[in-house]
Amino acid sequence: MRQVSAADWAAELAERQAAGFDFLDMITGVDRLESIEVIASVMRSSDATCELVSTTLDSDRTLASITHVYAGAGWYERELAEMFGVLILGSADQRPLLRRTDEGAPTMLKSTVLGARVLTPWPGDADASDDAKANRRRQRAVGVAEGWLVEEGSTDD
Amino acid sequence: MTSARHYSVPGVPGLAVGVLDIGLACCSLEIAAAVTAGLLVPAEAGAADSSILLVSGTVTDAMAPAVMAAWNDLSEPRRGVSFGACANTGGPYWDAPTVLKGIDQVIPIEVYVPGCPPRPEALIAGLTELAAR
Amino acid sequence: MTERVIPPNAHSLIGLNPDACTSCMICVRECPVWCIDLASHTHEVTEEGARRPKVVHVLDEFTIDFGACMFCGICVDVCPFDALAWSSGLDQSAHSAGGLVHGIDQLVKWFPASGS
Repeated sequence: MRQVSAADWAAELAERQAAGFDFLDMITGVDRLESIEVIASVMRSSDATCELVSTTLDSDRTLASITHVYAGAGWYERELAEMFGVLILGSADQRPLLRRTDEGAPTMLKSTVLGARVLTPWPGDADASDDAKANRRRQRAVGVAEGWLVEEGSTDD
Repeated sequence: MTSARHYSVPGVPGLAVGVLDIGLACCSLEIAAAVTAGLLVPAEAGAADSSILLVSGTVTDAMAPAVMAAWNDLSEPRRGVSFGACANTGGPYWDAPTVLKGIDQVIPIEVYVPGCPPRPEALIAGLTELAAR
Repeated sequence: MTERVIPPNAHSLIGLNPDACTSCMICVRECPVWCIDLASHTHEVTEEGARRPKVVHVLDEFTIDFGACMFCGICVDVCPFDALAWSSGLDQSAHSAGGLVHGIDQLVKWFPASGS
């Protein structure tokens, strides 16, 4: 994996293309909690060789568009913007892919509350038997962060 | 987009279906598998007495209007079949804020085929169920 | 057309052996799509010669929503008592999404006979 700074992102991918990597496989984000990592996978179609290019975004979460290098990057950049909150600079199409409005937190960030996981009663929350409920510890479903389930007037242990 | 394909089903005499297959995700491969395995046999148009909208795959909120448009364009009498966990209830994406929790929220569904994905045979069982209804 | 046979190891149905189930809730909690529901109660049994009664969980309800189930098999894998198992066959289509929710009566029929 080739690590580059966010400032060198577009230049690095242009270089990859010049080196024969003619196909953009995909771009995706990874929420590293303290930062967002963006990874692009490019392929040389003549011998099916793949390379990964990675960059870690600064706190401004800004990245230059590479649609002038790989036209197909537009779709993934729209994903990065909508789902990871990345501000893409210099791309013509900024429309969200799945959401109909701009409202709501980026869906793929670990800090984003998934309403369905909070509002749907977790079947694993209840101890199987009612009479054992009194002394059980409260359990939390996987993927539901501490604090998501705090009810008004109660404490989440 | 809204011209249905016509099939007969060997093993279920008299069942002729006009299917508009809306493949939105991986379940669609099982529809293709049903055709290549000979479970669905392409037939002449006009044999079917109703049109079937077969929805397979994840329906996002963004895609829902297109599915509704396909339903509205389908000639009467028309019947809806939901194929696979995503179309049935949202399936693995039940907690995603951008995914419909079942296609029956926007179009009427008569038969729900379970599976993730369902086997091609399950599609035939579902269509048989629909025909018997 | 040659007869097509669904392979016996196909991931088609999940069966339950209620006698083996201890209501431990592990499957319910591990299910990624929250499609298993389980209810039980406890009662005390004093065995002959035992100094103290022991608490036994009695399974009241066990449902799997096959409308949401993604047939990943995690429940089958995590069950410490092999109370859940794959079996061959096809789950039936239903006329409503709720019709795909199956309880103990149905799940026990899908539990494979021993040796399979």
